[in-house]
Amino acid sequence: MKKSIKAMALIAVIAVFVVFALGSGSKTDENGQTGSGEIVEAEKEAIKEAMAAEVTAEPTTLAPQPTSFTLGDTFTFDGFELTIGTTASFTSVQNQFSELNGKPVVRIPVKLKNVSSETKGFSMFNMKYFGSQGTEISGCSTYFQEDCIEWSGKLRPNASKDVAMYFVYDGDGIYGVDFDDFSNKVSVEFKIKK
Amino acid sequence: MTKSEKKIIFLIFYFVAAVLPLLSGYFIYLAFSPGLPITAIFYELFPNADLSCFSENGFLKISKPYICDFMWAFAFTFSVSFVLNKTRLNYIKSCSVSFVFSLILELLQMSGIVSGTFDFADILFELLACITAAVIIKNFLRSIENEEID
Repeated sequence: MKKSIKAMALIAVIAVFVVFALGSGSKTDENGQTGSGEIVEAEKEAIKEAMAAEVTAEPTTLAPQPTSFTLGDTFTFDGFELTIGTTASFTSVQNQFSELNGKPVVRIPVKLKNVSSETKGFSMFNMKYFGSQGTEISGCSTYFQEDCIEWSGKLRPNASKDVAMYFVYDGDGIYGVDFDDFSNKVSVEFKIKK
Repeated sequence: MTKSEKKIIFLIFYFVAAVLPLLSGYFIYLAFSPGLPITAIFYELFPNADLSCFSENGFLKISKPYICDFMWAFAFTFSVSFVLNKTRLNYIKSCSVSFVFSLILELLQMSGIVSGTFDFADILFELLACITAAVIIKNFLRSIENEEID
């Protein structure tokens, strides 16, 4: 009896820790991952094509809503003035240990300016990326920390910095970035076509 | 030391050793990875929570995944040891069970069956955590057994 209780408790403990471990794993995209970091030939070709392809980012015509913007627009959010670049480009994740290794990534330049009166950093918690299917997709800031907006660091008042938004490419279509700090919500939408 | 005092020390020791590392690891994930399933729950419950100030810590930025893996395996070993209380060679069994499960999870990540990123360094840190925990458990159990009961 005592042994079976111990066995059940052990299973419960293992289950709790497995849930923790799985819950802390990043979400895989619908294409799955590339095994132990090896890129298969077909994927290599896809990356080459993605890198070579001319990227045309066409601003979409949006309904005139004050909180909706597109490429080339400038708006203020959370004490920052953000000027979204007019052209998007492709790059790819180069990290053999990442499930995104070799996957095409969209890069959109952003000019970030601190228009508040205090030194502050842009919060990565206020951003969400949405892919061509309208579902939330992963940002790739971890792999592009040198110039991504999420790791832009602190800016003194009136200081500005050229940064970029990086996110996973999941097909041609309308992509979106939502900025939400619980008091203001700004949405940026744009068309990405390879 | 009375028998009940021993029991209380035993419970406190295991609670601190198993729960605190787990909470520390969770806190790091909250600060750096708000989009994960386990952290999303927290931000749904506390939408105004802002831990972004911690996310600028350079040391944590680099070592985050390894620290969290270490904490997880450390807490896991202690939890298994607590369940296996009074089992012969408790510390070896706890260490083995937690490391085997860590290894299985990493292999499942590598094969793409479960989400997450396979990293060989994770396995090394988890092994280190299991061994560290086992050494502490062995010494603790030995010292508490050697204490004379009044």
